[in-house]
Amino acid sequence: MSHKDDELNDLLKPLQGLSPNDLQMQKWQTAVQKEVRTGQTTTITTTRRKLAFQLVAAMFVGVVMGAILIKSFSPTNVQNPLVAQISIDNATFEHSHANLD
Amino acid sequence: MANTEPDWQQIVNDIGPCLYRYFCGAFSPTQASDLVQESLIRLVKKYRNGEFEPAKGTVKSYAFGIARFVRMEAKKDVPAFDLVDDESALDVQAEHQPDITDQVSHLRWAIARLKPIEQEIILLMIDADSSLDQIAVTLNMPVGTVKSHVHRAKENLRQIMEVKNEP
Repeated sequence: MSHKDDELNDLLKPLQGLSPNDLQMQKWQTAVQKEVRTGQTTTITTTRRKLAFQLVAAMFVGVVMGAILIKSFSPTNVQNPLVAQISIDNATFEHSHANLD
Repeated sequence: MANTEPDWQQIVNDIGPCLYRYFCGAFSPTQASDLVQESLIRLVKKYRNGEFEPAKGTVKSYAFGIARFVRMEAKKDVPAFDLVDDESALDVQAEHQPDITDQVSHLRWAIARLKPIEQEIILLMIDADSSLDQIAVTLNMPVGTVKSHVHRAKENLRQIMEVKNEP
């Protein structure tokens, strides 16, 4: 339903008669198409960035977890009696060095 | 979620001229052309972000909603006298028809002297195909309120134009 106000349409007739020229229409078309293409490129780039970020994050978590696991299950030097012997708190360098042999 | 991609070429062909007339009611044709472009680009962006909801209205109503904000932003940057007296940048069509140029300038001058809400209503009514329902959706107000604004705006516009026409 259009507003169909004849009196108002008469008042606004000069403006209603205006129309853009071909050059203006072409300019708008180009701008819109450019924006459409830019939007598509941005979406693709964003998806790729997300994927790369997820990959890097997963690798980092994997390395950290691996390091923790290796550290947890590997035998420590403290359990070795020889090391315990040469690592007593008040040992001098000479004492430790002598016990190495 | 983003909507499916519409035929933008068709949308520009359909809505572009309507927006152009809307902006011509407040700005020179050159400025109007730039503002149409700005509105259309914003429409594409918002549509792609999934901000357009078909249940709330048509793409055209949505485009006019965007155009309102573009107009308000542009108005802050352009002094009032530029909105009504800038006749230097009229388009080719108007240059070849001095009568139309005068009438358009006169009308623009008169519209600029209405209250803001009346200006808005009148600018939206320039598009002869626009319905009161569409205008109500764009302005987010009841149809009855739009009708009363239209009535007052029409009376005021006529009075302003008559005053200007008097010697």
